[in-house]
Amino acid sequence: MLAHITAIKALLTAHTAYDTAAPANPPMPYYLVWGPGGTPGVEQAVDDVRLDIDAMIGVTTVAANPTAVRVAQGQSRGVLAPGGHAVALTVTGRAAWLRLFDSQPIEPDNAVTLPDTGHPCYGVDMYRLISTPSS
Amino acid sequence: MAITFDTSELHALSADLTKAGEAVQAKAYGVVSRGAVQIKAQMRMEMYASKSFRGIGSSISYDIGGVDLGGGSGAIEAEIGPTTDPGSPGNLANVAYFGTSRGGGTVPDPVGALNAELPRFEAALAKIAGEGI
Repeated sequence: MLAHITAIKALLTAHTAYDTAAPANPPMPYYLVWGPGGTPGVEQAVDDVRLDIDAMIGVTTVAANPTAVRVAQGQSRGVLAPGGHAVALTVTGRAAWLRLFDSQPIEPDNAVTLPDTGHPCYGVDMYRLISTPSS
Repeated sequence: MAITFDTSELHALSADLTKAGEAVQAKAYGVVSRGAVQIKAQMRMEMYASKSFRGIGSSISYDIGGVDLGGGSGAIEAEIGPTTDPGSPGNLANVAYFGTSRGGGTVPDPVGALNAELPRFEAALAKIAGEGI
């Protein structure tokens, strides 16, 4: 799963993308890419070896205000769901696809206070990752 | 919390069921009820497995209702998820599933429970449709 998260982060060039958690005082906007360690797909292989992955991946966009979240979220969708389509991920030895699945409302994070601008805001896009061995 | 999933095959089936009698519709209600129970159970189990959010588990429940679609047809729907009344621990479910500005969600997305139940749900509906049409 690390290779898939790395591939997604590599596409998010507009702003810094972190794996799951943000460091202390990160520059805004930023992205969090998170998900399970690897969820086996629902199809049962004949040999009972399950190498396919069917997982939900979250991409959290964080910025100082709702407008900035929407702008940065638009940039992330521009590369992760261009034109509303699924996107192929570059992962060695895998055929991997990412498709925008759902989106949560943008909201302030009242547990965090920024020095000048109050509470940061964040929005979560959920993507479905399908990945199978390519050979 | 809005969740969508592929129901294209179910649409054709539901069209057939609208022509069925009340006996079939009663069986369909049972199928929806069983599916809701299974999904609720998995969602509770996943929430109980979280050290931070296990207190939310008991707030996950379901409601089943009928919807009049007009023209003599109707639908049966189940709404499954944490209760979000004022003061309910279920109000933290959004953080459990989708995280905060500092970190991602830590409890599996409910769509996993939905997808796990979907094959059984479809098979059960197809069975009663075959019996009643």
